[in-house]
Amino acid sequence: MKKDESKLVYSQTMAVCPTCLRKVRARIIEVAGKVFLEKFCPEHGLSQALISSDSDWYRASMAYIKPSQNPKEKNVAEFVGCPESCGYCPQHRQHVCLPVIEITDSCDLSCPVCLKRFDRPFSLSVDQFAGIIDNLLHTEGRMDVVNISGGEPLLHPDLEKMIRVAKEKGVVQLSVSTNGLAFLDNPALRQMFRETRTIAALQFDGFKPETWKFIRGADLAADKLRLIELLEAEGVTYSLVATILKGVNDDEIPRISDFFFASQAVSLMFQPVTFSGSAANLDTELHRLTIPDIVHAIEGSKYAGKGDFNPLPCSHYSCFALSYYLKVSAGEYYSLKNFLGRDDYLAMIANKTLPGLDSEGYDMMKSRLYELWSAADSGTTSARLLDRVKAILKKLNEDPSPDARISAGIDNMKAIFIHQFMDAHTLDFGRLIKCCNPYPMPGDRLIPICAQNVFGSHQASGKNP
Amino acid sequence: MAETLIRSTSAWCNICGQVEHAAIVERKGSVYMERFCPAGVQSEIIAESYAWYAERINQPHVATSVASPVPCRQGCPLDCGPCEWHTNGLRLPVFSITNDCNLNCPKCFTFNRPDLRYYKSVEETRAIIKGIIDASGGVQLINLTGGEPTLHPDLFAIIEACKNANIGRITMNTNGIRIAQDFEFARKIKESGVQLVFNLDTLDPETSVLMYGKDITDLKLQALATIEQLDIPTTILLVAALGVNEKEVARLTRAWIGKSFVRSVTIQNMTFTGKNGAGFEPKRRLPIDQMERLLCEEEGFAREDFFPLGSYHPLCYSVAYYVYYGDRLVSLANILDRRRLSELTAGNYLLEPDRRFSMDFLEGLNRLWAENGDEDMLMHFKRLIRQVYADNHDLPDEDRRRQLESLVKMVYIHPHMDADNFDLDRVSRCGDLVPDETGNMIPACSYNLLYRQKDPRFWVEPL
Ligand code: SF4
Ligand code: SF4
Ligand code: SF4
Ligand SMILES: [Zn+2]
Ligand SMILES: [Zn+2]
Repeated sequence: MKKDESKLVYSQTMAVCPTCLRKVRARIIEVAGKVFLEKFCPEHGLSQALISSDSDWYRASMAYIKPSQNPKEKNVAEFVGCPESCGYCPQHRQHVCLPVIEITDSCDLSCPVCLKRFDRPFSLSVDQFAGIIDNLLHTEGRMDVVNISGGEPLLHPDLEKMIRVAKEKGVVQLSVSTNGLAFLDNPALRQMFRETRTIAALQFDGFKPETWKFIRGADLAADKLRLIELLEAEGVTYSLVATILKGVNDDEIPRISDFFFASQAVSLMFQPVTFSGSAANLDTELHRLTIPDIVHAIEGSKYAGKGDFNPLPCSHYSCFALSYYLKVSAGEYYSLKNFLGRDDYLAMIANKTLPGLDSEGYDMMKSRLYELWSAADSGTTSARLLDRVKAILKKLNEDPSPDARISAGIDNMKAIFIHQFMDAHTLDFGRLIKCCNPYPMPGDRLIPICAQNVFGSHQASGKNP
Repeated sequence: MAETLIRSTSAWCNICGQVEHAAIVERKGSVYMERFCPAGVQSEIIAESYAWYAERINQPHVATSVASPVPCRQGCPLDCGPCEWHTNGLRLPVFSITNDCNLNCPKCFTFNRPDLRYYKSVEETRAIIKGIIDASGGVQLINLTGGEPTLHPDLFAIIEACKNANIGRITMNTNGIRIAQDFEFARKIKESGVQLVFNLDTLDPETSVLMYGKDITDLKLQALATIEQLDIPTTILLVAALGVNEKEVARLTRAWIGKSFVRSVTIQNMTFTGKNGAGFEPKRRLPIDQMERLLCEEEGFAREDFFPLGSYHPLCYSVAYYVYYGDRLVSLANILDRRRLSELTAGNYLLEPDRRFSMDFLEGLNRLWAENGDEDMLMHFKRLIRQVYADNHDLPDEDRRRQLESLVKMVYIHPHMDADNFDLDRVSRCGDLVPDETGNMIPACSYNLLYRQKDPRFWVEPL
């Protein structure tokens, strides 16, 4: 009997044919230490896509599952198939953690890596935006964190109104995904961000001119660094978002990480390139990389250590990985996982995609702190770290509002996220049904980002009855 | 309701005639498969215990195949097979030699055609055997089934046609009626060397009516007496239907496993498929681990004895091996690690009495000895191993296998699938294949659900 030692099978699932987008049979396999999604289309045959370049990471990630949290309400009354019922339909197995509201399709760049390809021009009105927030509050009960995206949202004339509407309705923290260029000669806009304490989530893909040219079509390094200086000088909260392509800027990952730790940015998001939208034209073989590639590269940076990262069990374990650090002093960071211990840490990060200290997290930090104090070997933990945590807790004791908790998070923690979106090659319905990062559509539909990016207006348009 | 999404699979829906994504979820400690059919999500229990499931599901399995699989055309399960998507080889060929039957059991999971009796010819049988050898190089055993195989007029010619140096043994299913009624026939069975797979769901007259359609308890007892008298090597096959006989199945297993003619016991959890089985009542799903638990309520069986049969899906087989010491059942899992046992069965159906096994076994005995195990018992096992191996290294494998088999009692819990829980993860790694005369081989569950009705020899769709 023939035994093909090199092929292992994890499980079957359903995916799409990258050629015709038909929903097809698929399975997750391992060959030579790498994990692939293998699909069979009756018309276009077999195809494979890399989903994890490290089978050890993949196997360990499978343990990152936890009970789903259902939204209070589902918008769609009846399930008629996935993704046709988006969303969220009664079969969706997760609630919304971080909604991404697209407010415009205009942009002042046309990046080759853009994962959007807007098939209908649009600009969201303030009323529509308000309706979306109301709907989120209706389905979720509360919505602490909201992201605004586009297109380039800074180009929307009503951005400020939207931010204020959201805050009035109780959103604690907004972030705006931007290339940042429109900030450069618009001090008023920066001032508005500072005043509303909105996070500018700034595209920042590296340092090399070739990187910028390849990824954004122009060398923007100098502009970005100048902008970061401005934001820091003026006290605007910001985070960094890096799109990573193998063979283009994966070698810059350690440098980006080091830069991040040295900066005042609150978080750093790595997005392995996704071959959707404009990026669908790029060569998947050359440029695809996966979460463990990025994790291993970050482990080569100055502040991050081996084992700091783990998958986030809220969305599917293949979607996200992250690591949190406590800021002890400038240049001194301590992994929150080490501080809290693995189990408490996992419980604390379970549902968060922005650094924040909710009441549960607060209790955990507190009890851990007492433990460390009472432990005989507390000498091993930096006294400065303990002092630091004590100071944070003291402040929170005085003002335990959600607002104060989120600022405590922003002021004292740094987070690195890796978000691996899916494209037509890697789309796995097993991941989609657990998405917690939807695009809220005008009206009340919530469409998982990856469903919208892959199926576009054909299926997941929110036009379903 | 709190639930945890564990993983995904894909599942066949008989109503839509489509394959859909299915989520595997944990809810209140049990595990369900939920098929995302556009017409409505179908939820089926697949394990009563998440802990049991989690322990067995976490490793990927090594893909193997037959010599020349057929290309994928429409996609699983419509390309059987085995097609290029299939990831197990041929472990246990099973084929029907007739659709004739002298019973009409409510629990029957196959399609027979009483209006037109079909008996496989010797030529057809030879073609099938050739296909089996071509695909696999050789197998430990084959299984002849029906209908009721003992009704085949040329049965012994068929058995002869199956004999081949590369086929370890021939087993044949039977309800035992002919054996009970015709001692001369039973004697010829014994002579032919075929092993029996004797169906015994119940010895209770009322339960007999539910399972077999009438009370045939006396016939079953008579058949058992004849088999015992002639010492025909036999597997007892019990179909367990929840709410009907699941406890009795556990009791019968305990009661009969010690008989010297019994080589193994196979418990098949009721599947609701086939002409009669699809309508069987009560329609209650008995998950594999629940049957395992019920069995372990009987003296001598323990949960730690059971392991998944290597290369099959863990929801398809749960297996335990025992050796008798006096009247005590000693699980091989006490001597060899369960994971090791699972590995040793990978690529096969039965335990291979090769060097790996004997070495591991002796090592296990030494370990137990060091841990202060029962010395007399350990000596006894050492002697047994020496009998089977040491004196005669030249014993052909088959003889050694037979010797070992007469010592080791095997328990298989083996639920098939039906229209409600048809999981492509399971069927695409099935090793119980139904070969036909052209070399095609169809996983047994695919065959029962989708293919047998398309073979006019066995079935004709009612107009
Ligand atoms: S992705 Fe979620 S919301 Fe959309 S159809 Fe599938 S299960 Fe429903
Ligand atoms: S947006 Fe895509 S990658 Fe992100 S959580 Fe949702 S399904 Fe997963
Ligand atoms: S069951 Fe096996 S042989 Fe049949 S279609 Fe599926 S993978 Fe192919
Ligand atoms: Zn196709
Ligand atoms: Zn989430």
